[in-house]
Amino acid sequence: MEDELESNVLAEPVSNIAYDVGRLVSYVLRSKARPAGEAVYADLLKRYESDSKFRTIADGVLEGMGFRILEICELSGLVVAPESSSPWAFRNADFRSGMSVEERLIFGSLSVMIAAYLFPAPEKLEMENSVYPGTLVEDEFLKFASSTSKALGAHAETDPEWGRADLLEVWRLIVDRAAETNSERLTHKTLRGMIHHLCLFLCEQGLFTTEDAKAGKYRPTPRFRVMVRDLAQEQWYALIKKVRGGEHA
Amino acid sequence: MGTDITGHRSDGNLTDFWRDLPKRQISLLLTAPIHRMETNKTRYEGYKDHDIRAYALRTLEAVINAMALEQGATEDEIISDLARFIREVSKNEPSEARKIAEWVVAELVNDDERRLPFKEAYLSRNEDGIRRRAFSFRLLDQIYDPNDPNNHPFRATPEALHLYIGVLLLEIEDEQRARESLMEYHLKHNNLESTRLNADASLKATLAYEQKLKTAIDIASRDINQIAWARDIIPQLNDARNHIGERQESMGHIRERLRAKASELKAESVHTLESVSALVDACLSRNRKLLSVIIGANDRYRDAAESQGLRSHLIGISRSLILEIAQPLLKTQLRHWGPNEQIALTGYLAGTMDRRVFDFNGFIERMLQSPREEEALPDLAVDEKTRLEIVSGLFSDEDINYVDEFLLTYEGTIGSALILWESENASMEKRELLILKALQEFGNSTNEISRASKTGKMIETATYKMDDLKWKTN
Repeated sequence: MEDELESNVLAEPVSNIAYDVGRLVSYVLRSKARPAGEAVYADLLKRYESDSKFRTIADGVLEGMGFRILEICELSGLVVAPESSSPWAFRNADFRSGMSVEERLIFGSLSVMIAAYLFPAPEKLEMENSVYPGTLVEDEFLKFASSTSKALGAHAETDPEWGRADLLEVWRLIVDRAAETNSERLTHKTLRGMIHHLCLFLCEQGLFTTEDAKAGKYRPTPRFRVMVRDLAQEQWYALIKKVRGGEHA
Repeated sequence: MGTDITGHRSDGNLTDFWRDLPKRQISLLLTAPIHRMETNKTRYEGYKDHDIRAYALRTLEAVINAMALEQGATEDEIISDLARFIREVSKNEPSEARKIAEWVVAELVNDDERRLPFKEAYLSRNEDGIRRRAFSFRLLDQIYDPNDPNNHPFRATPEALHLYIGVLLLEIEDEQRARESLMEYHLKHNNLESTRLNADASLKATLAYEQKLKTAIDIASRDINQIAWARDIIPQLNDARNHIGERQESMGHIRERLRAKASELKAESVHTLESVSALVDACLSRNRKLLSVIIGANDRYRDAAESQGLRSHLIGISRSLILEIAQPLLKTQLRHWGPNEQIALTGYLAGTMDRRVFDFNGFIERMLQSPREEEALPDLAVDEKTRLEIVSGLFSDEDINYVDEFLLTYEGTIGSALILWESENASMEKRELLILKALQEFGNSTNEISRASKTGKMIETATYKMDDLKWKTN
């Protein structure tokens, strides 16, 4: 096996392979890079798919850098997620510095709810990557977040599986903040403002694009579906999906 | 052959009725959303006198025609077309017609249920007995346009195509064959209008087949590493290749007959003949493209399978760069280093770029950490100090400075570092060229590269220092 590898490697200088792998990695790290928009990226992805030696090196480099490969697709390219120990891992401060625990928990809950709002059931997650899942409008999502939190709060009181004590508090806070929300105010103290902030952040990360800034209307990108598929394995998504599915409602 | 009350024939197989029942029910179920729209229209003021079923079919017609022309229709185009149609048949005001058109399109994508597939129940029987099962399907999708992130054209699903072209009980492959036979027959009898109608139906069936196959490939490609892919998809791809080959042969034959016919025709029939030819050419063209999609998918699978075979014999996939592929290289360059050090260096090099990669799942995980967990777990991202600590286990202080000077200045990455290792025996010019090329490609600022090129000396110094470092470690 080693001889075979060595002869394969000799067939093309490692420098060439490493050079192309480096170029591929540089595209992978840019969350907004799209193969359709950049011919070089498309060619490198083609090579990744068709050249097993190249792919093994690229996989090794990415894994060595602390990434998990989530998916490769024509629209969003090679989508990766850093392990928490990777030097590339996102930090809370990269999102926003000086957040209180309460704010952090609300942002986390809203993120899961956004995923569940756009992908309310596994059938929708399993659709082809090319299918557009529809838009998210801040005001409509606000109502959804409020009603979902109300349902989660009600179940959390009687069912320990439905959340920790601090999360129970978060569901209540979301409901209260939603009731107080004045849609004209977009400060981070209001739920509407937090939703707005989160949507803009998802735009920055290449997961949303803005369709109509004034109406607070966003389009999820294909990358978002891939990320939510990854999330779907987690308890958080299952929690909200249960409420949507009416199993506990 | 007799049957019994259990739905089985005396030979133990299901009766024809039970065998065909799911398919027959599904044929009916595909129309359920459209019937539901017709029923639900009474909830809306002013919709009562409209034929919503006709509007739904008109929408499918517009979308399918746009697909046949290989141009997706945008939401606005589809709604405008339908609104025009509604005005023609109902004399509504433009704004009212548009409102109804928007509602029809929203219903067809199932906007009310946030675009989940429609789900209908049907009855089936197998060895476990009689069961009610759910059939999920969609009629209309909006898709991402790879060339324009802000455009989301509509696409009819295979189910919608089946529904629209009226082949509910047929396999789409049979429909394609049947249409070709009918074209041959009508052409032989000089019935050009019927030939044209069948050519049009044939193009729609080609589209339906294309959608069916692409959907299967798309879904299967996501699980390319699963063994099931080989078992389930490869036979489908082979069948598809044969099927398309047959279609191309048959359509090619029809095209030849059309050419021969051209000289015999009267002037008034020439236009119809041209329409038929255009439709036949469209079928041939779509099939050619589909064939290349299939061959591409087949190749991807083959490589994935090869890669799996390769990997299954090797240990530690996360180290594949170092242990599997780059080993021959590293044997000569860094043979005294253990794999852990090599991996640590890889991580170190990666960390020299000040960039974070967003991960939705990880983000949520961190956001939803309980306050207690937060205290217990410091942020694990490697900061500058930690990186230096990692690397200090590998290098002397002096070496760290060399590495930092080169790598931090130019935000070197793994690729450039490997090129450096590899270029040990290359001439200085070649090395310089390789380094510059790597730097350029790894997204460094052009100003910095240009500055570096001008001085040249910095690169040279860094290269020497790197060589020096390697020499020392050897």
